[in-house]
Amino acid sequence: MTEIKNLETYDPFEDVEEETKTKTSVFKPIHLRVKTRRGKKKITTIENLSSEFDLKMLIKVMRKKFCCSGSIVNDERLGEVIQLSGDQREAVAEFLIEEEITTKKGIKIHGN
Amino acid sequence: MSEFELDLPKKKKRKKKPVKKEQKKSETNEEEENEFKFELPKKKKKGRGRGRGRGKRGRGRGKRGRGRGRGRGRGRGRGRGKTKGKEKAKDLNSENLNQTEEPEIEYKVLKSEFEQGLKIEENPDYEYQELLTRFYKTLKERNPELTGENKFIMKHPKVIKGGSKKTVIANAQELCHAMRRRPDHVLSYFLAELMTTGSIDSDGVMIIKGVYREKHIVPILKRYIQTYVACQVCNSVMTSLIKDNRLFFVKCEHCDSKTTVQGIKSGAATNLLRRKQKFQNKK
Repeated sequence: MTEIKNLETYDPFEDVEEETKTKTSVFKPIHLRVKTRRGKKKITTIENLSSEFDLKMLIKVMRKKFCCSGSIVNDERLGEVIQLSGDQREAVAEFLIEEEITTKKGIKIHGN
Repeated sequence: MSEFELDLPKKKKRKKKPVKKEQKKSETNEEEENEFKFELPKKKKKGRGRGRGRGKRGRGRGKRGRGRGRGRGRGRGRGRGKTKGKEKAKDLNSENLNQTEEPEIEYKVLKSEFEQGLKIEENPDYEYQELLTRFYKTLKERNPELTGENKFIMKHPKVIKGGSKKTVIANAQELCHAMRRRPDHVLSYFLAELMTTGSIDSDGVMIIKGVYREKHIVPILKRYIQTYVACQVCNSVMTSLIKDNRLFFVKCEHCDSKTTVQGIKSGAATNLLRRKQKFQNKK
């Protein structure tokens, strides 16, 4: 009987559901790896950037800042991956933290 | 009005102590008069251990010095020590043993024996510090596990140049044996971190494509130990990898705990695919 207020069921978690949904989603950290190409030349790859961000704009800004070339590659398993020339793991990490895309815990650096 | 008298027992306990003291004083006078003089050796006040070459606090005791931690040191025992000694002397000389004194005598005897046990000889052959250092040396050599230092000391990986463009880790089998891990697992971790290819020889030698040195490989080893070998609860290294329902577990033998661990995932394959696609598209 919805008319009688006392008999209505009260859901204490009505307001909280929206928050929990975002938390229960799987936490995917961003991986930064380095690969050697020829001799001293290296490539950095950035994985697991969420698709909310406009990747093209990101690449544009990063290329200007770090003075390097970059591109997007479609991988079967991992989705879209950003490639930058040179070893720029630390620079990318700082950049991502400044722009508040992730926190320090959300980044994992591999390699040397 | 009737008067009734109550015969209550007198409270003797409170009167005992002063009575005894008076008796003691009187008896000492008597003893001095007698020829028998049973005197205990006087306890010399020792300096703060420096005369004997011990630590600052003397007698090798802890921070609190005079054995205050134990409650039976000189600090508290002064007042009683004198009386005990004198009582002993009295009892030996005087054969009058009252029943009320017997239990107290026993208690005092026990205490004095304990105190005697704590005494150190005046001219010992070995000093305390020497014995301590000797003890710890032999412990470290024979039973390093029991020293209390849970340091996991591992050998360094021998990294050698295997021709241009290749590196060789000669120690690989020993390291894997010390960590209790399969060399396949360790290899796959290295390759995922360095984004290269590699293999293991029959001798247990790892070959990795690319030019790397010890300073590059040691931090990767450390990361491997932190994630896959060390227990997250008790920080011990005696662990083993177990697979259970498609999940990897790190089981600790020290504290019997299981923690899940992610599998090793390699990164994305890169440049070559792109180049091929470009050329194909142009054609």
